Amino acid sequence: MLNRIEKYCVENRTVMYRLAYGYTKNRDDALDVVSDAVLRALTTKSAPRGEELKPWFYGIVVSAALDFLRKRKDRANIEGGDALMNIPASGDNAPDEDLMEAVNRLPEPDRTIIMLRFFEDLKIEDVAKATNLRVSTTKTRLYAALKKMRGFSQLAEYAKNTATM
Amino acid sequence: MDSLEKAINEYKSIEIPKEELEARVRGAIKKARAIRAKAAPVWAARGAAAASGLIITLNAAPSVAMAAAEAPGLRGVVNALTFNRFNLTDGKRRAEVSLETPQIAEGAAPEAIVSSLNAKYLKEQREAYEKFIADAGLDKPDSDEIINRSLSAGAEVVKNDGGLLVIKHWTLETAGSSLETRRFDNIDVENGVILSLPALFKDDGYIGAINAEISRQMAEQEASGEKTYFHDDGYFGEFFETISPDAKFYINSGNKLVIVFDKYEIAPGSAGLPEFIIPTDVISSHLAGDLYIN
Repeated sequence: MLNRIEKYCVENRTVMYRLAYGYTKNRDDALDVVSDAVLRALTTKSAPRGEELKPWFYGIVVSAALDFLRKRKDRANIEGGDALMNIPASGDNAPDEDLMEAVNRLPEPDRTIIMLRFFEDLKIEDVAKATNLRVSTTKTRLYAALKKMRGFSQLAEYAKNTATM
Repeated sequence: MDSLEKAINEYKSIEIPKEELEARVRGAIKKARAIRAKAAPVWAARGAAAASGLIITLNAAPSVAMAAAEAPGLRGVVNALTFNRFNLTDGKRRAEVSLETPQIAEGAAPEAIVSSLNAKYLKEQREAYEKFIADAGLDKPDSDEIINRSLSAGAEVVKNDGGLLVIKHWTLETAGSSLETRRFDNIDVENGVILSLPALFKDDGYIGAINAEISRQMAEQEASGEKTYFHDDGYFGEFFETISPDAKFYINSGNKLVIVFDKYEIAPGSAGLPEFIIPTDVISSHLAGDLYIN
């Protein structure tokens, strides 16, 4: 018999994987992140209930993913390469550039904010909870991030239209 | 297609490695359960230990020679050696160890069996003790970890009718919640053999018969609200399917076969260590004889 959080993890495993993959861009690494996130979620002293559960859960997956990337980066640095830090100079968004790539190049927590807001369709308030930021800070960073990706006017448009959600 | 839609699509359409994902989630849940079983109680104990203001003394070194100083307290055929009892407190750390090592008395069973079982009991408890010390971090004197644990172990004679000697030996580890393990030795004293489950039967049909009976009792207990058991929820392999030939068992004082499961093996912790007494008539057609079970 699964307990409440175990059940939630099982039911949301695809969501976890998708989000983890959004960070790692790699199947095996994403699976590692999922596994770690489940472990974290289940060994936390008290998991919130009701509406608080969703942002809390997202927050755990995000921090598991970011910790993973940090470790991967350390490893890459130790091994002498920085192939994984494939960050081109910012600012010039070629018109045909993939929006996904632009999101990937954003610094944290901007990338997370964009991913949770647009790809996972979380409310701003929930994004704020998941990232442990104030709602106002989250909004500010969201718009700053959109500005950075100014080539993607439609994203900005969409953000404006849904800003009150 | 605009770029946002394209990106969302790209994001949502990644291939999901279904089986592996399921296996990893299942694995992590299992691991978390094991961690919780150990660690959660320590969190719970933290406040209590800090508030109680325990006297901070190390009144026993965590290195105890297990086989030292025999102090046999005679209890029928099984002597209990009670020399391993100590408390360890130094404020943050509190550990109690109380081990009664069962030793079968000479002459209670053929010599070879007595010596091999006695050696086994000593070895088992030594290992349980060493694991306890390592798990609790008591082998690291400078550790800051807060510990509140206890380990006890002992044995009792379940049955001793001159033909069969049945010894139950157990360990109980507590770190807030408790984890008990029970093991049984069923000794045919006259013939000098330790019984195995398959040896009681003349064919393999006993497995199906016992499975059916266990399933029946589980359903009955669940229907009456007495206990709950794990079921196949599609994600866990942990639920009762079948006993194996090396299932834990003993023969009770009424000469009935009893099948025993570990905590968490087929049921939530609240169910304890499930035991099922198998009515002899459901297995009688498979029994090799009525010497032990009738």
